[in-house]
Amino acid sequence: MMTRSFRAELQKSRRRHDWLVAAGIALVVVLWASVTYDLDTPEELASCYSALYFAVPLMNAIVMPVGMAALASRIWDSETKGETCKLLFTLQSRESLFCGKAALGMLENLLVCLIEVAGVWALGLWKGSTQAPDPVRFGWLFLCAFLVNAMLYFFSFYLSLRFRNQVTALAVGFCGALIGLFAAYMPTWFGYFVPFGYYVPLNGVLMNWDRDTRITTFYLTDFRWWLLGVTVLLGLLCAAACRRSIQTKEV
Amino acid sequence: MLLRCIRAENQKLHGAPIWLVFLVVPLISCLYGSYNFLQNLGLLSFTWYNLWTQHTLFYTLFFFAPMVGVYAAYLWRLEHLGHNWNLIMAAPVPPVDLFIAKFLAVAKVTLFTQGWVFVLYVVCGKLWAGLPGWPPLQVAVWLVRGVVGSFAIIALELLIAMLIRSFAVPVLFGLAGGVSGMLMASKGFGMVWPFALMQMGMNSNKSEDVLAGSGGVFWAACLIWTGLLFAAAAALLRARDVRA
Repeated sequence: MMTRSFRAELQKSRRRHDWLVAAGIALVVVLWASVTYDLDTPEELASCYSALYFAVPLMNAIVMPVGMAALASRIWDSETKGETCKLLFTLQSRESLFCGKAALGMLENLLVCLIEVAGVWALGLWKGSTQAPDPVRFGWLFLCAFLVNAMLYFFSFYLSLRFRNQVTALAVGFCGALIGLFAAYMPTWFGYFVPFGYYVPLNGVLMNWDRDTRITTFYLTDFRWWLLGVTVLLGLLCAAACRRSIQTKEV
Repeated sequence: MLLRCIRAENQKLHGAPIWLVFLVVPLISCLYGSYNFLQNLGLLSFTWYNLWTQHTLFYTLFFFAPMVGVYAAYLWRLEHLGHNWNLIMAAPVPPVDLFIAKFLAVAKVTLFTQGWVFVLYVVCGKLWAGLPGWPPLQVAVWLVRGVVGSFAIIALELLIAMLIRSFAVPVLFGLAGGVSGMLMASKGFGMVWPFALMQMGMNSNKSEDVLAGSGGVFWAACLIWTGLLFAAAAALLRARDVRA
């Protein structure tokens, strides 16, 4: 039943061109990262990947809340516009409908993160980085992006389920992006209270800009595993709220 | 006929949830801008110009275009639901009037948004930051330029929302447009990209006027882009028909 439901969701997504939207979200970040820093001098090229590890989470904090809201909204909006809930709830279990939509959302999220990480890796090679790409750092970048995206996806999906009008999910998504971006420039502890911007405190790189010499230095730091745990917990809570919302939905 | 269409669009805006977006986005931007301004007085001088850059930088670069995307998508979504598209195609009004009416409705909300940004800027500058005197007149000129620069974004977002029957895509497109506008403006190609026009008009990232000496080109670019997008919308609406 679950497999059949997932296949049905895949078929719907083909007509909606969801893959194109997911690829577009990742490419915006890669394109933006490609022009953020002037990576020309030997010193800059020696810290090319560190600069990218630092910049990409900040860009994610702006792009991903809106991106995930867009994906979640599209996945549920097709049922809202087609008034298909009554039909679906008689043809399949509510549980399988939730699982199908959650699996599709995670698959699209996976695609976004894979394209982003591969794009950033390729970007360093294209710029001629003399710093070797670190698979562990890339793994962390991928893991953080995927888990924070998943949390935001389920949060936006919940809003799409609760409010028929998709303004709510999208507006909350980009207001969240705005607050997440601001949290990135506030003291670190403030960022812990803004899940929309978790990409930044989860970032394993710090930057120091010397005002006199105008030289930027990047420092690699330890990973904040506990914050990743909080992200997973919040994601699970949002997913449980979505599941409950589908199970109790009146048609 | 056009007047009736405008009245209808205005009615759709009554009680619409987009007013929340209108209120909240500039408010968050101004709260952060004022806080950042006061925290960085070692780097920034204590002037109205610097408060302006802090208030409007992120709002203009990343959040204005998606906000217009929300406005545009909301107005077209109503036509994409149920059989409303066939109703408007069969209505005894030229289809292009619908587009013009929606454009004027979104432009009106955008004008209010810019006014709200200015009110927040003055209130925060006087009451929170305690800046002496009043904002320079130039800021009002930048706001007006921002409104005119936004016409191309409004027309483009309306066009996308008309063609793509999804609420989310125009908003996402607005975000991508904001990023691309920033990149194009930084490379010196701002005049040839509609998303960069509003950012340049608002003069958000420099205390000196980025359009000094090229004001005429800016107004012409706004006019040409808006005109082209209107022509495209008119042609597409003429070609489209009811859907069985």
